[in-house]
Amino acid sequence: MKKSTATAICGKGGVGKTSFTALMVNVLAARKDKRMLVIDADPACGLATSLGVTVQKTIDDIRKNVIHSTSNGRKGSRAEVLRMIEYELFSALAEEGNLALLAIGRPEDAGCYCRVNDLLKDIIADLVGNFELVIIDGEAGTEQINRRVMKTVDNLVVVSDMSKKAMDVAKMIHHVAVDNRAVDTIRMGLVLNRARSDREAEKRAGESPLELLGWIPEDETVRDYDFHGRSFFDFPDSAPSMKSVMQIADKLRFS
Amino acid sequence: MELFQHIFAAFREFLDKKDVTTVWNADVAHQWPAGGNRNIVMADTMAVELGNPSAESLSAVLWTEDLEQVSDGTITLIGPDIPESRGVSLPYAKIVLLGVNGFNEENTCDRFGDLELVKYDVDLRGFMLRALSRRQNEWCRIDGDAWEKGFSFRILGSELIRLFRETDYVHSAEVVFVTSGKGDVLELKDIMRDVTQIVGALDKMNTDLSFDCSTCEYQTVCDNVSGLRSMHASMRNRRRN
Repeated sequence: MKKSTATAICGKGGVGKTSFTALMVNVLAARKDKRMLVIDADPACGLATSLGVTVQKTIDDIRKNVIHSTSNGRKGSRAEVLRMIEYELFSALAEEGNLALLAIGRPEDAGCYCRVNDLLKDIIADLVGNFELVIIDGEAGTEQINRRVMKTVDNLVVVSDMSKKAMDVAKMIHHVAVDNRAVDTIRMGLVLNRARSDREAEKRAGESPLELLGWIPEDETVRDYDFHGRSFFDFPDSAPSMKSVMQIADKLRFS
Repeated sequence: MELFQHIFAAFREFLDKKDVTTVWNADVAHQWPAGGNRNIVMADTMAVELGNPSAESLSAVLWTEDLEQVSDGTITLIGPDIPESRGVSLPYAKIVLLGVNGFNEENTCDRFGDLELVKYDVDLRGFMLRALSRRQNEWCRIDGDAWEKGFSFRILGSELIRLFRETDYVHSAEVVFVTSGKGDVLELKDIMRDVTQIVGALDKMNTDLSFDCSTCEYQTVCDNVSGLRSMHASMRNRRRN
């Protein structure tokens, strides 16, 4: 089994995290020799839309199905439930070429998910082993970091815009990840979105404990793609934001 | 103990009226390499797909103690084989017929569980299987490398027969694959509907602690299939003791 490189992308809501992730996925998908699993861990499921991928079923749907099925008088052995989740999980993968997308969805029902969550965790861990690259678009804020969801990723990319509020969240993520040891990440860095120049980006990054991986200029093309709901797979390589993301991808370890 | 006698008869009738494409003898000596943990076949490397959830699929295991009803080592295919189906997603049914002995009220449920799990032991490089036993669905993919090396239903059937024969109470094994069309799979599903019900009743006996038949959804199944009631009574006594 090849080693997977997992990269999680997090940050404050509204800073352009999902657009950045979509561009990163586009850059990496072009590397046809690598099979990539994209996990949309943001309950809003915006990444799937940005990539033009239709999600038929989310992890939360699977959870509900399994709980419903095993609470209707047929408990099933652990092996059987495991196989059931495995089947459902595979049918939830949206496949596009060398890429597969899995959406987590939004847990809404009350009740205990612990057993199913444990099984899901095991199966997703097995699934991840089949991909060379894993990209996780995390939930906005620090909750998933705090809950150690991202503990074993290789790269943790914190996206921020130039606002103080977003930079404060980035600092908070760093604090939780490093000081609270919520992440064993090999590499952690900051991506500044909607910056105007190297100088402005470097100045802002200097206020953060995070290493600056790169900055992305304000780009009308991103706005246009978001506005019209166009797939970021069709995003032009010549766009300034795309060039920046290509440089950031080179800095991260994807081998 | 015979649970599937009427289904065996209906299934043989189904086979008699279909155009059988190929019949092979299992080649259990020929070993296809194992796939290990890397058993996922993604769409980009897939050559052939069987039983996609959006199509029809069926997987059933029937057993009998009447060994004459099972043609040991025979693999039958109705419909196109894998080598001639590159780039195609086929509807899929797989029926395994087993000649067994020693099934009784006390061991049938456990043995049923064991036989249901045998399909997951199939570990062939380039072959992926996902199955939902409760709905008797089976979804398989064959990757391009396996396809180029000649992966076929004979290889899959031979492996299944080899694995089932490893179970000490299984004396003979026969496999029938159907890929000829959605209509044929649906027709088989109709024939195998009772299997689903019997399997459901067995499953419930195996996992549910309730012994109140008056509230059980499988009451009519147990009324119609001889042997189920005595099996249930035997389990009740075992648990009480």
